[in-house]
Amino acid sequence: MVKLLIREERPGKGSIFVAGRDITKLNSFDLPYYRRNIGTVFQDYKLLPTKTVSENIAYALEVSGESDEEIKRRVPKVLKSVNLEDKTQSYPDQLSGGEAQRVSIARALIHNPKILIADEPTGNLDPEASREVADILEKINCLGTTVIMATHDRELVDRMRKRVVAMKEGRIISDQRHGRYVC
Amino acid sequence: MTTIRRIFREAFTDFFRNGLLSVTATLIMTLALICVGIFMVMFLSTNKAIADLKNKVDIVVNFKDDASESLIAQLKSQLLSRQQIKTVRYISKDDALKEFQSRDSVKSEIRQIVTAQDNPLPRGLQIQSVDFAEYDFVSSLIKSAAYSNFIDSSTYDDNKETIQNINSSTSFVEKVGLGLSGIFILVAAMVVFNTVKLAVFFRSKEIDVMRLVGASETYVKTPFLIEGFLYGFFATIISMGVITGAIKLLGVISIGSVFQRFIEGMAPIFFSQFWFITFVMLMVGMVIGLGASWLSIRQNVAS
Repeated sequence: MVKLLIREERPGKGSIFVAGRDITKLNSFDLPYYRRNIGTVFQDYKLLPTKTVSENIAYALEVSGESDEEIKRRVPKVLKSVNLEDKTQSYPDQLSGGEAQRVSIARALIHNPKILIADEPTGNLDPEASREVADILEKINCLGTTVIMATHDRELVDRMRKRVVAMKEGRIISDQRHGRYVC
Repeated sequence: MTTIRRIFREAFTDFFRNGLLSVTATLIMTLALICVGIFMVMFLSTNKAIADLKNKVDIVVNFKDDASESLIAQLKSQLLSRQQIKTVRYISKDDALKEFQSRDSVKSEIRQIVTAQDNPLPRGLQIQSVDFAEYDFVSSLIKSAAYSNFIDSSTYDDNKETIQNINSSTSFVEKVGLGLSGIFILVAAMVVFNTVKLAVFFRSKEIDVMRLVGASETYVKTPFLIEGFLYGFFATIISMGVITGAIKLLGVISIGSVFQRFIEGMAPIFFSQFWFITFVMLMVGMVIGLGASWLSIRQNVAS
């Protein structure tokens, strides 16, 4: 479902509306603009291995033609919000899983997106790092960004008490306003 | 403008950070370009040698003493009217004598007999042509009725075999040279293509990530193309360095050996054509590098 939402894949049939726009009809020219308006966090972080932490985040701004001054201003800020000020010059393979995931979140946030899509963000993390990531996502949500998180982490879901949409074999089986994990 | 600057910076940063991959691709390309370079030097040297040889081959037509000056002048102007004929030099009796006297091989007794007062040496025309096939025309002309009675001898028949040999070896060298260059460039292109393809394949995940964070197609692909160009660019510099070094080194170590003359003949041609060879190599390197990158991206990176 996440792949469909970020248009990494197209559905065989049907439409997907995001903010009133059918994203299945986006052409290759419009697609980058759409992706810049949604933040995405991946289970495997998807960081660029040959770029440092701050370059990885700056890249997302560079591709949208943001000015150098603006990039210099915003990158440290967003790194501070995920507590990574001291890792700016590290390369992804020098980071722990939790740190890498926080870089991925920072990159997703740099455009101030209205929607943040997180695909199993805690899937590769130990419980402590998972909690840290969950706290950050919750904070982002409080600041007004819609966070869509796909997860199998029962503890996380039960602790957050947010809206829970359960899916089984591609179909929604429940939708609770302050839900718990559904087996 | 900012975007172009960033794309270039992106390409240069990637080139240097993917050190091993860049070095491998550049070195493979270097090997290919060295082959191309050596081939060009060989080709130019052979061409030069053949051109020199062509200049040395000429026909001398000797006239009987009863041939009038106006007849000789008529033949001369008739020959000069042909485009393929480069020079026609009139050799007067005095010229022939001077040349004869200056020859070392002539014995001094004979030298004393042949004097300006009693000069049996004939007048002649020395003919040089750009195209060897033209000598056949010269031959048929001097054998025509208008001239044949006044012509004592000509060196056409002596030189005929040499001329034919040079003619056939010229076209042979040209054909083989072109054929082998073509094969070399093709093989080089394929090897480089595979190396670059591997490089792009290793990084296809990165390309996906770039797209997922909202980079446009141009922004993703152009740095790879520039990297392809950089492989060619650096490979050209290294190849020219290696060939220059090799020619200078061989110039020193070949002294006294059988290769000395060969290297001595090749070195000035290489240095006089240095920029031309560099240009051709850069073009070949650039086309292969850019082409390989472009094809690899198309194959490995689905939109």
